[in-house]
Amino acid sequence: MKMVMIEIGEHLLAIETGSDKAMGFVNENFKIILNPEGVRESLKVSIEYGYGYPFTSFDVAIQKGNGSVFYNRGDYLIEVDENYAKATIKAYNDFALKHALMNLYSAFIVHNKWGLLIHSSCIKEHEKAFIFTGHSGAGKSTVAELSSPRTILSDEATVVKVTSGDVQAFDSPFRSDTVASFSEKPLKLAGIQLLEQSSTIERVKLEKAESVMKMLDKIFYWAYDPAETQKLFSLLQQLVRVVPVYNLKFQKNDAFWEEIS
Amino acid sequence: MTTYIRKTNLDAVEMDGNWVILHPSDYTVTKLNGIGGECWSLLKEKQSVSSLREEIQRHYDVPDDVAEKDIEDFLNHMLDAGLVTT
Repeated sequence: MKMVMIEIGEHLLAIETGSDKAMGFVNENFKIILNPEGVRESLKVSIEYGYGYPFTSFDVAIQKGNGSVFYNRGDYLIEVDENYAKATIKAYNDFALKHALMNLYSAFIVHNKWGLLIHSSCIKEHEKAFIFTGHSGAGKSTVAELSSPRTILSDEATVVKVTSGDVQAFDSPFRSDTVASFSEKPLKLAGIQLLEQSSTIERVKLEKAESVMKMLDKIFYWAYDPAETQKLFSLLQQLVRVVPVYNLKFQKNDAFWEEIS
Repeated sequence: MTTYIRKTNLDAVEMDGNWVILHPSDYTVTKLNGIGGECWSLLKEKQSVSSLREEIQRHYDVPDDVAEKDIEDFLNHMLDAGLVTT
């Protein structure tokens, strides 16, 4: 059995596994804490490979019982105690493990009222963070590519800490086409843009109630418990009170940055 | 006379004059603006179609039949969404 301490957002996760493949994936994709002696993890995660069958669907079945919550997607099974202190992930392969860790971390930060995992890309500009989100195919990855050489904080799932007065975006390990440097400090989130590809460039600010409606399905969240869902709703309200949300029509070039910053 | 009132297991917040209502069990969110939002504010206490109409007519110049039809449609929508009860 091997152990390693990783950092996501402000949290330390102690990862334990007997699988060299799983440990390889974790080492390659997450920020490793090299001298973890004396530090205490927020969450213990035990990982096993060899579970289930190849990916077929994003649908996750959730059950509660015996003090645990179970998330089952066919290619992964998560069991986590109701206090979100100790979890076991059984996964089919690296893809399943990545998604299981996203599922677990998202539920963990909502449970602790810390923040949200937002389906989006996030770019650094003038020491501030800007989120780009939208429906599938709206251009989240395209925006990340077009924004070069700006630093990419995420291209798939942005880790966002929400407090009543401030919202910060963290260097995200949950990526699809880019790799985190893990050297970026968290940055103030200055805006969220809902993307729409167009022949023109136009940015229109949304009302707060509309922002809540538009953002709800952009959060990685699997509802199972009304009390947890109320925490998510509270975090979402805080988010849109602090951070402006815009509809952004953009062309496939980086001229939209002139509208934003 | 049928009376209506908000369900208690909901999370509702007013933002810039609009109401956003979360149904935590169904994981649905409903946005209400204008008269819908005002009706929702009044539904904190038991209301009938006519009591809502009277309150709305204090602020809006709407004929009785039009106001009652709109309020009935609104209440039916809210019942379907599980946000109010009779």
